[in-house]
Amino acid sequence: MTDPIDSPPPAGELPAEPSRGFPWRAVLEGVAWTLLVAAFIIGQIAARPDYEKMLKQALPGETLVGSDANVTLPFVYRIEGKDDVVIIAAGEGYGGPLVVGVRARRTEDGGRLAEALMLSHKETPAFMERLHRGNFFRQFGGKEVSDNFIVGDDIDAVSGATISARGLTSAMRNAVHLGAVNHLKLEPTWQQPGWIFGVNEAVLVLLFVLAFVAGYRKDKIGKYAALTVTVGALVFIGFYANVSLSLANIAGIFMGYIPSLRQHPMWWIMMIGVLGSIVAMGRNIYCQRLCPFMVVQDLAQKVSGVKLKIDSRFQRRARTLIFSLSWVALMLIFLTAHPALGSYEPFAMMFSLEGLGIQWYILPASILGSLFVPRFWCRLFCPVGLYLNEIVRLRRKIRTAFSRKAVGGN
Amino acid sequence: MMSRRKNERPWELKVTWTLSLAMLLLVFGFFYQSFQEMLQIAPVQVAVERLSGPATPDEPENVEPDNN
Repeated sequence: MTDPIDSPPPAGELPAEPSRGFPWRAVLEGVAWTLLVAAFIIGQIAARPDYEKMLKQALPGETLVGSDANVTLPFVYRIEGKDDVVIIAAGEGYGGPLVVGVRARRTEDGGRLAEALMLSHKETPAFMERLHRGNFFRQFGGKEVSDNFIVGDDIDAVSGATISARGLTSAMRNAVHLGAVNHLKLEPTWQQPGWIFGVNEAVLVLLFVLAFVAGYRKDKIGKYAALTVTVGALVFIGFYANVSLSLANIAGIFMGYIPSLRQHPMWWIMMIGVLGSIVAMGRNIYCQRLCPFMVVQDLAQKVSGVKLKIDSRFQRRARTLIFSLSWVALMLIFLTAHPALGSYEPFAMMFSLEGLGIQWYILPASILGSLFVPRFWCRLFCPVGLYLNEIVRLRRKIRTAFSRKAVGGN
Repeated sequence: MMSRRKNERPWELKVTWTLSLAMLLLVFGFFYQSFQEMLQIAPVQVAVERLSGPATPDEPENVEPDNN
């Protein structure tokens, strides 16, 4: 089968139309960009939660006494008449910051976590559902403030929502340990989380390496590499780690939600691998080889054996459609400052089997589509593929411009 | 062969259009659902979720998450 993604990206804009008076297209594009910028600014201002108000709502009957230093997170509050402290702190999730409020209480032998409140998060709802179902939150019940709060040490992650689990745990750790040192005056006896580079990260790097090998070698080794990458993409990137790229990731970068390399190396490996392959080699290796949903669609197509064709005109219209859909999605994301809210892809749902409302219908519909049209979702609806191919196109343009300049210079 | 393929195209196109429109409706349904959620996220009403209940020595520990 010809790889539709492997082929050069569709030829840019719709066929250039001769000038016919008023430039409607340019005006529309201008309005669209202006609205996106406006939505971003409004979202950044309006979606800033009032954490103190939320705490008061969550802890009725308690009088919180805040510190003058409560300007940026973490915030610290004493509870009047009690030897409790409430700290609000953030951790880095997959979609953005996770903010928790933690109430620490002095005990005879130190202190314990008395209560924990999730105040806001930007995670895909499916990931949070996964954490709930995996009884992840139960692990925090009654923990000592001097515990490590490290995933893989005293906290177990939940498969398929590892990054969210780490983000939530780091938020709890930041809050609890701050309370332990500053308010309960405990000596730090807990471990600090180290660099997280384990088997999962190594497997992801290996998959990228194999994807490069599969892309360049057409011999037996290349075929084995391609097969391994296909299985690895589905099982590891999809079902096990659930780290498919989505519009939420792209929007998150625009919104400054870039997790630390130390705590979320998977995110960095994915971004460096995907963008690096485009910049260095001009290849969209993610869509070609590593997208687990692409593998699912290929499997569906193999099962049905039907290959309906999409003519180039339809494909170009689809490109405009994806731009329009992603514009609506980005408007929602920017207005709410919540990347997961506009991310309409079925990936997280497919690989965690958790979803909300209409998401349950998008997934089967996309698989149904790929029973008839090869890579139905990739070609007609996927914003990630479109944007990655746009970067490939941009790279080609820049390269061509430079080579023309070089030839002209000679 | 060529004429057969030509005859097939409108049928293929119709199926693709139908599938695409159905998917488009679902995606817009998702946007509507997200929009509704967005309206619910008023500055004060951002979900406050208890991860664990109050754990005082006198009270039994309640660590059941409550999704309110």
